[in-house]
Amino acid sequence: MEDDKLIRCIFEDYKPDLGNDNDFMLTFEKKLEMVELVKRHRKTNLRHMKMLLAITFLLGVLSAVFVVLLISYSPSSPIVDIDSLGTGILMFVNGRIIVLGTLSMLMSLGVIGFVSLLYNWLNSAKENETIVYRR
Amino acid sequence: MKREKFVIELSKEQRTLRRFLLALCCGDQSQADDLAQETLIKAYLSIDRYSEIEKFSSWLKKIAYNTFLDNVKSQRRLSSLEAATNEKSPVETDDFLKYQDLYMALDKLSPKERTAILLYYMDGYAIKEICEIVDCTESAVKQQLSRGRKQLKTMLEDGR
Repeated sequence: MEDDKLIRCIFEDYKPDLGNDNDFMLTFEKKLEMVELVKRHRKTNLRHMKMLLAITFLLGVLSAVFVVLLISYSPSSPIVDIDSLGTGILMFVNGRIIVLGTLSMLMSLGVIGFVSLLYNWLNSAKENETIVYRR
Repeated sequence: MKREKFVIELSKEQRTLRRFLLALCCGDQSQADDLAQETLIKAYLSIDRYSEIEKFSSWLKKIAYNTFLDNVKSQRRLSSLEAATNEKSPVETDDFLKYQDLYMALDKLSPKERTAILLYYMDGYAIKEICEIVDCTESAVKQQLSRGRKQLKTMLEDGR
């Protein structure tokens, strides 16, 4: 109990000079503005990424449809001439589908690559702009 | 809670928080202010997780305590590096000198004991509330308080 009183007294007298409250709050509000800025930037980036993803998906689907149409309306000679290979393996029976799948996959990869390149290029252009602006 | 309301609530609590952190940092004003700013930013970012049932000041203290512990951990990692260069010490202002004995005594306590002592004696929290802030059991807090009280008393009496 004695200890309690002594320590309690010490802390009751503890009234340190904390400096200006307004300065502290001003610094905090400035930091808050920066946090808001970063949050907004992140949100915009996320929205852009989602949009790009949707565009990529759409382009992929369209390309696949295009390839399907291209192959369906191609001349009577097949893309892979199974007979000329002289094999009866099951895989070659479905050669047209395999080729279609592979082509679609390659095209999708190509589209993704192209879109990400475009995105990176746009981003770096924006960053350069910011650097110029800061200077 | 919206940003405006948060800032209003904060302006009411910031002095108590800064006082608590200054004592926790044993008088290092710049470190205490940095931690206070960091605490407030963390609080702002996790405002969605704050339930109105909880006391705003207790919630802030909890974040401040965790921020302080993180800081202690990172300082420990840097301590070897600092020892190689020149060790940082708090700026000795008049205010620091006024409470020098108290700060030196608090510095000898472990961070957990110091926190328990400050929350109990300085801010007047009940043991149950301290348990929630420091995320410990009641017996652990009681033990920290008892050890801290004994050490603090011995050191302060030696200092006089």
